[in-house]
Amino acid sequence: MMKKPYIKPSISKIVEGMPSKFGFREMVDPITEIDGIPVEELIKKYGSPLFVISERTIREVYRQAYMAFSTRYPKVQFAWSYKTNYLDAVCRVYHQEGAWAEVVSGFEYDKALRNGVPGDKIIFNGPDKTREDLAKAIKNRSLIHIDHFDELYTILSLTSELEERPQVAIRINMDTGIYPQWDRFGFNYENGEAWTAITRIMMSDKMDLVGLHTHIGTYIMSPKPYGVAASKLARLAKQVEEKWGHRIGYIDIGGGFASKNTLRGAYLSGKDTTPSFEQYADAISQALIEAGFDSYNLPVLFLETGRALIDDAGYLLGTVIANKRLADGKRAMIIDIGVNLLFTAFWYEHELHPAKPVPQYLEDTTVYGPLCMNIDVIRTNVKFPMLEPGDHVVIKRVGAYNMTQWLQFINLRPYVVMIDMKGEVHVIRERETLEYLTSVEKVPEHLQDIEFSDKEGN
Amino acid sequence: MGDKKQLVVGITGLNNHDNPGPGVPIIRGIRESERFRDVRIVGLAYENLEPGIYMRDLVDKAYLVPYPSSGSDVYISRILEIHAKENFDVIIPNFDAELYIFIANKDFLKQQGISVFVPELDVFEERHKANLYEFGQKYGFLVPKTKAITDVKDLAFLPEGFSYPIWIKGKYYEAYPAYDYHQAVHYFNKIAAKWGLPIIIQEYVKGTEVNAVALGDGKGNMVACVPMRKQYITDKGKAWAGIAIKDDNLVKLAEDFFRKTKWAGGIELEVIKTNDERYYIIEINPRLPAWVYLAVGAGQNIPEALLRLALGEDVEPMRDFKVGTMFIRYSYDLIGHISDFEKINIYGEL
Amino acid sequence: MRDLAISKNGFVFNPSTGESFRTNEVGRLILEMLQEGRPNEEIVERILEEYDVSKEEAERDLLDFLNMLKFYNLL
Repeated sequence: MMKKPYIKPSISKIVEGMPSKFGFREMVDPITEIDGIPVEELIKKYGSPLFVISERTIREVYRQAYMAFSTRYPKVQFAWSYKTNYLDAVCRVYHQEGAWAEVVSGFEYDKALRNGVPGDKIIFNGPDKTREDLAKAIKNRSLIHIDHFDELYTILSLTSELEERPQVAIRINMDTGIYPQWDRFGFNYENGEAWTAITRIMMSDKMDLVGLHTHIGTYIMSPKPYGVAASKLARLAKQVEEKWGHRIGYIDIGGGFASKNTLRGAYLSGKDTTPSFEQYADAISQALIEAGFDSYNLPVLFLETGRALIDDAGYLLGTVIANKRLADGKRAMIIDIGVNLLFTAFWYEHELHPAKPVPQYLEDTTVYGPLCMNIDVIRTNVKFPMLEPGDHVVIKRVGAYNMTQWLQFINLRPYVVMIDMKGEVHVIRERETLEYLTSVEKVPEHLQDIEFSDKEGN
Repeated sequence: MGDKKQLVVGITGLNNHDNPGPGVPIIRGIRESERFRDVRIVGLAYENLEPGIYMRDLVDKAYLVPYPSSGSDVYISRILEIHAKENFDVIIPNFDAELYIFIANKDFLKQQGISVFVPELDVFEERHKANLYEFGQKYGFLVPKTKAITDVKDLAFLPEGFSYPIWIKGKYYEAYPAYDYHQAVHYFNKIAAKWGLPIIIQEYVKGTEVNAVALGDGKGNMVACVPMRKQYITDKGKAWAGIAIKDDNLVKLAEDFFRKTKWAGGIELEVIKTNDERYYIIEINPRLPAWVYLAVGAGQNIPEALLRLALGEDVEPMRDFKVGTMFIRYSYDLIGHISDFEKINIYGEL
Repeated sequence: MRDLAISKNGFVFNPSTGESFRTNEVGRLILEMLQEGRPNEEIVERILEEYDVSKEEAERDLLDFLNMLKFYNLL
């Protein structure tokens, strides 16, 4: 006689009438493959955990975003936000698609040059630019977005040493109706500081004010503040034109678009509440079109969105280490993915899926990482089916920030692979080794010899 | 063709305990309608003890549905699963958090043969607690200063223009007045744990609270409106008794609201009337309130009118109602059996 | 334990406390055998007869299940 398929015995108390965030019949779908490549096969070949990037998703999402903006506004230029994910292979996909580079440090700047981005297609943002960085950027005719007056004066002082005229924009912070208002970067709009900075630049006659830039915040769930920001920048651009007859070449609205991840503490799923590119584009392009620019000389709209472009393209594959019952009877599952690799677990309720079809008996589960640290929690209270040690899991939407903010901590960082458009798998970052990590360490002479005595107790 | 098919109406919000939903009173309104003698009422419940599930004289059949937080794909697929058995004509959503999903999927549901009478997404979002102040400025209504905050630290240094006392409100439900920082922190944490972030803080305006239940046809016309003053409020802030009052200013305010927003569906307007006769809107709930049956009793069968609008009928505006009509809410011990409880839990339907 | 009402559909009702529970097919089998007073070894044997599972896994899962029963005060 054929034996029946086995399901782990389980029993759970029916909670009477208590409101909870979870209702009836939730399903956790398995993710068995990524772009046609079986998850099992990927882990077998590259080990676990494993970051997987879908080149197809990167390109599709990029084109979708570009389409959303370019059909609403005639001049659009994206710049890839390096800090979101600066693996060379990832950056190059964006550059192939036509995105420029947006960098915030000398290191990122050099990385962009190395990736073949011409100097005049690099936007140099951020508060931390050294005198050397600035000199290099000026020579390369990169777009320098000035963050504070000290930087402005450094650039001014460099103009006496260098032949090239610096191509600059200023970063502006403002009230767009959202809270918290970011005011630590750039010059304030409402108190007139931005206008003072513009005046200083225009009066110096030593650099070209080519653009105006703002970045209103992060994970902005509403398109409306972007409309406000675009209007305010457009008004400044018009004022510059009226006062000095100088036309601002571009308006850079920055980034901060939300991805479809669900924020911790949010009630509705991010898949439902995150605005689409079309909605963001509507708000921004409408504000620019209504600003009253001469239609033959519209400023170019620059966008530096990172998270919303790359998040969906990244997957993190892992393995169940153990299951246990906590003292309060709740189920816990330990996986080999820790917060050192999945930094965003601090902010998101990441979508977690089994890598194979499993019986849909779901139980409230806390998912822990492998670190010997209390903060190492991937999900609390997620309805999840019972998996066996050795079974695999897939975490969705991890493309943004994890591969730049990850920590080498307790363990070595894993492979990152990219599945190309033809379904071929490429290693784009090697798994770290003990040799790689210790190659930058030095041991002083007097610590070279280590000897342990064979005798006990001596 | 055979006999005219029986009208099938799905109704959510069957909770009817100390924090009652509008589902059961809406069903009562429909059951008492002369026009709709033969309606099959299908209750859609989130929890296994929502009393409506067990009210066999009012509800023909009840199903459990997932919470909206599980995402619209999960939610809508459950609705379609039930639709395959029940063949809905109309669904009347009554739970704030689910409205978003119904609005976003209105056209899709229409293609499946299900009508839902809900407002457009823009105006639904605009009147949201967190945006209410801007809403007032845009449409020309008085609204106390309102701000959404996401960090408990913001209570220590209140944003400009705020000082204690303030209201601490959840994104969807619950509101408490806080007279100092410590109370504010307490309520912030309490509400955030239940309804998530942001938390809304609102300027405390002195005056008398008056409310109105009203219905708009989506074209700018107000179809019904009954103003009410709460006579008795539970410690959860719920009206346990109330009286229909004559307040022409409030009716005019509601009419103004529908004219400017073209809102489709029911609302509950919560308003503070100051001593100098100014009307501050403190909340616009995007659905009928649990006390809507007062309107039925006062002569305006709003649930019936809502159902007619959902079916695409034109509804003549109702103007009159009996001032002085009261409702006194009471609790009632419904008798059930564990076998019913078993069915709703194991099969998700009863 | 003996008073527990166990339905075919997996609904478990404890009449002495009024609490109710949901269990699955294998859980129901274990509960029924426990009610008949069968020892753990016999339960595991029966599971092995009927289901496609290794002895180690069945034993471990039975222990986890018994722990849950204790946790719910059903044992």
